[in-house]
Amino acid sequence: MTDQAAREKAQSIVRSQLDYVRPGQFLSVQREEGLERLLAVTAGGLSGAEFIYQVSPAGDEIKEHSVVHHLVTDADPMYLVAVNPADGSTYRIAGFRDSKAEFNKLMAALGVKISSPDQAEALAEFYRTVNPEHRSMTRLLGLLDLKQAAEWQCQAVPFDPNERAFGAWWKHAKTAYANVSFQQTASRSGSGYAVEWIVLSSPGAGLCGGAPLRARLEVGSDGSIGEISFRPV
Amino acid sequence: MGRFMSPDWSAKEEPVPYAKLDNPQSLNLYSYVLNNPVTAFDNDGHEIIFAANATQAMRDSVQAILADPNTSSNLSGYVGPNNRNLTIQSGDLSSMDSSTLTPDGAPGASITQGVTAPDIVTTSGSSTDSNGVTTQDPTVTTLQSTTITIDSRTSAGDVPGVMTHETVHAGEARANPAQYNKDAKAEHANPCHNCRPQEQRANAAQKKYGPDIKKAVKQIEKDRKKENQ
Repeated sequence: MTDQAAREKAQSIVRSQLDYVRPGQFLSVQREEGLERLLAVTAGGLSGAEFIYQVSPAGDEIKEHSVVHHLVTDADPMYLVAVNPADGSTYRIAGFRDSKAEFNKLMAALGVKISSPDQAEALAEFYRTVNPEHRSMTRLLGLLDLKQAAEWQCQAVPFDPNERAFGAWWKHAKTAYANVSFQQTASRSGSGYAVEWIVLSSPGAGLCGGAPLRARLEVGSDGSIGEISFRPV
Repeated sequence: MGRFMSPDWSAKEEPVPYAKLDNPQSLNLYSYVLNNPVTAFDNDGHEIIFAANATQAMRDSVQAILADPNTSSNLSGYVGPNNRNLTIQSGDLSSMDSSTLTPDGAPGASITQGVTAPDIVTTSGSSTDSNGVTTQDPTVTTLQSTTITIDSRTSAGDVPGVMTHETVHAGEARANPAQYNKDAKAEHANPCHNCRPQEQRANAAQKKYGPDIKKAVKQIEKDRKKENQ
C-alpha cells in the first residue's frame, strides 16, 4: 500500500467514526514520522514500518489561488491512525473510545517484547506521546518544569497582573515539593514493568496551580499497556 | 426555503424558522423577552441553518441571543442577504474530552460541550495589464462559513450558556476573519486551553450574559406552551 492509499484509508476511517463531521467536510491528514520513529525505537527496530497519520478537521486546505483555514475553537480535535502498508490493517490509536485497546492491538501485531527497563521506558514515552485516552500524562523533569507547568495553569484564572495567585502557589510548592524526585523509573511488576514519573494535577482548592503526582503505568512483557494510576508524592 | 440549504448537507436540514416574524404573536415574544424586538432580520436573507439534529433548546437559545442587545451582534453578521452561512448542529464531541486529575490523584473529566468551526479563506491572485506587466493583487481574507456544534450530552438547561459562549467565537470570526485566524493559530500553541484569550473572552461573555439568555429561553418555552394550548 502506498503512502497516498494509506493516507486516504486513515482519513476515511476517521470520517466514518465522527458524527459531527459532515459528508465531504475537509479533514487534514499529516504523516507523523516522529511517532513512527518512536514506535520503531519501542519495537527495538524490528518493525515500525507502520505509517502513522494525524487526522483532524482543523488545518489549512491549499487550493490554486487560495488557502482555506479550517479552524476549530474550544478543543483541539486530533485523531491518530496507524496503517500497516503491507497488509492494510489499521489501528485507531488516539482520539477514539477504544483507542487504548487499539494501541494494544498494534503492539501485539508488531510482536513487541519488553525485556528491559529501558524498553519499558521507551514504550511509556511512546504511549504518553500518542496518549490514547487523552489523559494528563506530561512528564515533569524537575522543580522548574513543575513551576512552569503551574504557571500555565495559573493563567487560566482571570488575568492577575501582580501574579498573586501564582506567587501564593509557588510559595507553598517550593517548600512542599523541594525533595520530590522527578526521575522516571522502571521496575519489575509481575511479568512486565511499572514505569513511574511525575505529572502535575489540576489546580487544588484555593490555589491556582496543581500538585505533583506520581504516575504509574503498567507495561506488559508483550508490550501491552495496563492500568495507569496516580498518587500524591 | 431551499436556497438556504447547503448543497452537501442533509435534505432534512432546515433554516431557522424566522418566518414567524410575520406573526405578530411571535414578535410579541421578542419584545416580551427583552423589550428589544429584533429588526436586523431580513425575511428574505437570513442564513442561520439548523441541522436536522439541532434541538429546540439550541433554536431557542439562538433566538434569545439574537434578541438580546448584549449578544445580538455576535449573530447579526450571519443574518441578512449576502451574509455567510452559520450552521448549528448537535454532535458527539466526546472524542475531544480530556481528563483531569485532582491533587489527590483521583481522575476527573473535562467535557467538551461545544465547538465553533469557522472556515476562513485567504485568496491571492495576480493581474496582467495590456503591456504584459503582472501585478500581484493584495491577499483578501474572508469568512466562508461557520459551524457551531453543541455536544449531544449537553443538557437543555446548559445549552443557552454554551451557545452564548460559542456565538462569541462565531461573532469574532465574522467581524474580523483575518485577525481571528491569526489569533486562533497563535493561541493554539498554548497548552492551557482556558488561558487562550479567545476562550477567555467567550468565557467572560458566557458568565456575564449566559444567565440572561437562559432566562429568555425559559420565557420562550413558556410562551410556546401558552401558544400551543
